[in-house]
Amino acid sequence: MAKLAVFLLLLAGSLHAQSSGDELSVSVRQGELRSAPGFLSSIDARLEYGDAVRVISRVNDWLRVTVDHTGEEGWIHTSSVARPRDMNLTGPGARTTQTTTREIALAGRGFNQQVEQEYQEQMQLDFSVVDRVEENLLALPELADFLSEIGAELLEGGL
Amino acid sequence: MRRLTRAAGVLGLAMVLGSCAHLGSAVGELADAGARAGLPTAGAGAVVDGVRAVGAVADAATSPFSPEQEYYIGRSVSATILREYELYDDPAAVAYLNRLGQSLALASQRPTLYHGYTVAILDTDEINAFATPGGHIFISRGMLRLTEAEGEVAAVLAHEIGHIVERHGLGSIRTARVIDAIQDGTFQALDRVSDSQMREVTRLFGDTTADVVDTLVTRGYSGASEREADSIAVQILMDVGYDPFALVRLLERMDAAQQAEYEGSRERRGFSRTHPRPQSRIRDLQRSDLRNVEPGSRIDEEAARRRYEAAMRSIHTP
Repeated sequence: MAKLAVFLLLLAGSLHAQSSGDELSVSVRQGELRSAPGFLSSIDARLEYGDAVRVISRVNDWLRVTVDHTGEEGWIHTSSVARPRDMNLTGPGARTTQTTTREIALAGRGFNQQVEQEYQEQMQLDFSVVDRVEENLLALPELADFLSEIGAELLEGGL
Repeated sequence: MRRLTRAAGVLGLAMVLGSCAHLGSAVGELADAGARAGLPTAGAGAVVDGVRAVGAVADAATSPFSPEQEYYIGRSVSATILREYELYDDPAAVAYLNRLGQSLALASQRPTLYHGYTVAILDTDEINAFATPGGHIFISRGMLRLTEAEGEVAAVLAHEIGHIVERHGLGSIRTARVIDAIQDGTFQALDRVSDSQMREVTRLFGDTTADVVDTLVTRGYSGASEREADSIAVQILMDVGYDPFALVRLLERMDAAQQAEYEGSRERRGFSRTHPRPQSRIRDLQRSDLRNVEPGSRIDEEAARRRYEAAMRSIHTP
């Protein structure tokens, strides 16, 4: 039963994690604040990596949030945000000199474009081929037609 | 949330039954949710050890890397793989694979990534597919040639998405120095980095890249990771409406191809070097994820066939 107590503690903790007031950081390069909980709803604002948001409520895998630096409200998918500590946003160097979450994110990033450039020069690696692969990224509206063909149910399910 | 609700439901049921047995996956999920919530997890870790092996939900809490670092590791892994392979640039095939793959990813537990999911074709007869921590999915011409229908292409892509969702690539990083460096703050405040620090971080970046590439190309993931990716693939296929048995059909063909390869040469290449035998993966699927599942799809098969044939023309042309 001690185990059960731990389960309940974890359950309580995890429910707490989704309650309003939690501060999270945008964990994707191009975060999208949407008008409704779904990938096909309209985009109200674009957010940057590290932007702080505060949770208001949750519907399935979507969070209704307030953006810290603009005060805007909207919906963001749970996979587009992370706890600041999971983004290596804390650290001695970061904490003392930075003020906003975004600045902290930029300070504590470790492997980044600068390191990639350095590595590219050492190893004579061609990252332009990787750029070409990444150009294959499609915007959601471009996927919508395909989605409606293959997965109408998925769309109805509130993607 | 869906996952958590399910876990909470299982927990509730178990409490009604007055038993702590069969809670394995629910415990793993709750522990991970707890870890995400920033709870102290030392005690919980002891509880869940052993039961979370298969159902573990990898998330940021179990990864020392930030999403941005994950992405840059993925780029570097991609660049290294693309030193060995050429890209196959048939626009129709590449566009099709990206529409399909990115749609499937939306049905996963991790629909968004730092940069997103992208798919490319490797110009080789080798039968293989890789996924990097940065969301890059590589599928070989040889693998595509083995497919006969859209559902089978979807099965390969969904399996690779499974590796990305579970962050298996990062799990293959063995260089303890990298983990130490992240924890002791070597990576902090890189805005004021000295030349020697930069050299050290770059060296760590190289070691990290090498670990992941070695796993993807040579050593392979653990059998448990492959089962996990297969399990996610089945889930995605079913959620989107594809027949999950498409994965079994493709694995059977992969098995036949592997047999032929063994007869031809002793050297194992591509997936047969890095993956468990297809027959054992089929057995695992039949015992678990596909147990009590009726074959059948809910998509318009005729439309899928037309899409597949139009896009795969150059792949299937000798």
